[in-house]
Amino acid sequence: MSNNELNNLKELWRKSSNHVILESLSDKLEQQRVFKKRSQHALERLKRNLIIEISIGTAAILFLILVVLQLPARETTIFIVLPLVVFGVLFSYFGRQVIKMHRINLFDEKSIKETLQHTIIQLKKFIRIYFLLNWLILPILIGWALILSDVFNGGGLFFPIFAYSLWVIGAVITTFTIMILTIFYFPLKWYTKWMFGNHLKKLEDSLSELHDVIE
Amino acid sequence: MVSSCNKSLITTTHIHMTSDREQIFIGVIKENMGIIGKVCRMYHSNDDDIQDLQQEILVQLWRGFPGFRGESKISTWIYRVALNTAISDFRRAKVIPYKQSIGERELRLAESEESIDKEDLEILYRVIDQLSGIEKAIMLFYLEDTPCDEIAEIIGITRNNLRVKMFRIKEKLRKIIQKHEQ
Repeated sequence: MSNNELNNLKELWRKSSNHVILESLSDKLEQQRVFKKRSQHALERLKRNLIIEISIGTAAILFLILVVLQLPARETTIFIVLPLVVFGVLFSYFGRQVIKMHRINLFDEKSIKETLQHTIIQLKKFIRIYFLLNWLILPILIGWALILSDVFNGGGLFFPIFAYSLWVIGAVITTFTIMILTIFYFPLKWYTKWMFGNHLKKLEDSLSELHDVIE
Repeated sequence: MVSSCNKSLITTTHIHMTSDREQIFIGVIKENMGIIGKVCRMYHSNDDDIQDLQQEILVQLWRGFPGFRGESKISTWIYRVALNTAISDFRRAKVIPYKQSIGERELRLAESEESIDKEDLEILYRVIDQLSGIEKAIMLFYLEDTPCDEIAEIIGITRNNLRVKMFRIKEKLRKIIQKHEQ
């Protein structure tokens, strides 16, 4: 491309970019304080959605604890308290990851490359945790749903299992867990990719553009 | 390219006083409004998208303003925040017919005193639209005559890497323009 053509482009750019809609920005800054509005950036929306998910999850746990305390059967109560503890531990770990996500800032005095690298690392960690959390919670949730519905229907379906030895109970739970984990592995992988994969790929593409020349 | 009028104001003092912060921020933004406008223009083609990105950049700048330590020029920081925001935000752009989008821009330009040939304008926008996010950032600095050292620092690559990138972008531009002329 000749220098003349490039200079023409520069001149065109100068003329056209001078007239980008900025007329109202001055008023907006003064009167509407637009800079104080809520961010609509994809990463910010992601963080907000996660906080909502965690809040709903925590509320659900508290509600279930109240329900469990009202249950008559001691064995059933123990059965439900244990997953609750697992659930609580997973959620608190997930919460810590969300706090880490908050450290992704677009406004640091870092270069574009550094910001991209940092964002990709955090997002990858987060996606992994998000997948694991949802995957591991599924058997607990499904198990809960079955046991609770049985409890409220008189306990005829699952209660007889308590008559067997702990080995049998353990084997049933293990088989059930493996079955659920296997069934939901690929659908959940697909869902996680559908939720975050596109965004991550675009960030990685942008970063790889900065790597493609030997430095 | 880079205005440093507010640099001393910002670099000499950390901005912590909330009451004054807003006014200082508004002053800084007004002074550097052109940077935000140019980044928005480079990354989006229709008014709604430009407005959305413009607002998002302002939100990010406001959030980062108290932490700005003055390690770089204020305009460099604004470029960084604006480009980081534009590159990493992948909301679905509103699709508008190409001819229509040119028409909108033309209308806007018609209000200005400077006249631009419609065909030239079409080439310019066609060129921009075909660049990737990173290429757009480099192209923006190139069109603004930013020194190479500064571009390399903002993007975070070496000068050599930048030279190669610029060469490739020029090649790409040449092909797009040739294609258009055919």
